[in-house]
Amino acid sequence: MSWQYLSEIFPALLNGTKVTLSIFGLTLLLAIPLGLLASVGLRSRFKPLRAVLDFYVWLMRGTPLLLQLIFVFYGLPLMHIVLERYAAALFAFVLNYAAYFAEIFRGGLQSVDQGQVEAAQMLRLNSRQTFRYIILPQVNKKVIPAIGNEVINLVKDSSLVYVIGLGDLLRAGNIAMARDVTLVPLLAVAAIYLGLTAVLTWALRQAEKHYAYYD
Amino acid sequence: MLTLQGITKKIATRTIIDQATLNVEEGQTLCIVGPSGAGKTTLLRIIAGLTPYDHGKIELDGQPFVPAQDNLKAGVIGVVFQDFRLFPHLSTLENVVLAPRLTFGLSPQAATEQAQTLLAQLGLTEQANQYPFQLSGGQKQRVGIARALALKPRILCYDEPTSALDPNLRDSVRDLILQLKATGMTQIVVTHDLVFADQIADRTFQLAPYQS
Repeated sequence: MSWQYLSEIFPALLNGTKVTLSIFGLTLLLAIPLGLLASVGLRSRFKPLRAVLDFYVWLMRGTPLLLQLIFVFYGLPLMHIVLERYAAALFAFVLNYAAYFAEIFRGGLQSVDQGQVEAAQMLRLNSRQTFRYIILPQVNKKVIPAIGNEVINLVKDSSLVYVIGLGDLLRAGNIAMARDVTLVPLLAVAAIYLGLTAVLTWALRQAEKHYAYYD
Repeated sequence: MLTLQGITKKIATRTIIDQATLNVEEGQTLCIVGPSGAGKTTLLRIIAGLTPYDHGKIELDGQPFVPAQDNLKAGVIGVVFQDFRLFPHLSTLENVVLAPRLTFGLSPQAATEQAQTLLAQLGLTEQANQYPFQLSGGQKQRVGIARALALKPRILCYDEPTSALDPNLRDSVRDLILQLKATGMTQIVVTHDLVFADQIADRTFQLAPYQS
């Protein structure tokens, strides 16, 4: 493995990493709040809303993300809904990950004792205040490990955008491998993914530590 | 002050409370006693507005009082729960500061000063920065009382205040209730402990399990 070769393919890998990170970051940024919102809806007393959200979660978790990506990019145009590659990828990822986050948050919400809500009620906190100051901090502590798993999965899943021709990190490595007939680009790609997941694992541990001050 | 007339509560077809009639006057301590399953906690929850009732009426100062609406809005009644229900992610001080800040809109400084005064009165100054998991049962109980008192309720209710405590802590709860009584606080205490009730009550209301 020559350093010169690595420096030659580095710009392409860097551009691919930028796409991977932007899909990753924007998906997290959009899917976490959406998932939280959906989790509240999943516990709603309004049955039609619950039914729609149950169906959505079932559909997203019950079919492969790869299929969803292909459907959004190649299938929707048949219904005259055309999204460019990046928007299609982001749309599919956000919809898919929001469903997983919704289930995680639903579990977190369920695990908070109803007595906490009653205590807040007796202190005359309204439902918004109760959610923000009492429920959410307790849910956050409980969901961080599960969210962490999904975050790590998301980094790796982002390579699926390859199937719709988006130039992510894996695609950049694959092109270099096919062109130069060497495994070095793939090893470099693996090293970059490992680096990204190592940083994320460290960040998630810090988040867990942040909430470890109480039992 | 607070009057309950013919309060009845059913769950499905089972009668939990049948025609309970009682009243408590300003500054009095009323104990609701009875065996397990008699509906004592349910009655307390009805008074606090946490559980609806099927029949009867409640009046406060001679005016109709609907706890689920009036109490949860105006905060006439404070509750100290049997299992304390402190907020685990907040320190002792934060548990007491939170509601006055959010409900009364007190400034952080004013709410903190008020909370520190309450904690000092209840002997909790040293525990101000500790979290609920670091406190003993008796300390949690007192934090629960401080948290309820921070909203200046007219009536303070306790659900089985001695049941989760060691016998030696029972006396400290008794002293605390008597201390609050001396300040003129109206209190309603649900307990199955008749000796404890005798020590603190001005009046006792006996609740028996409903016999169909």
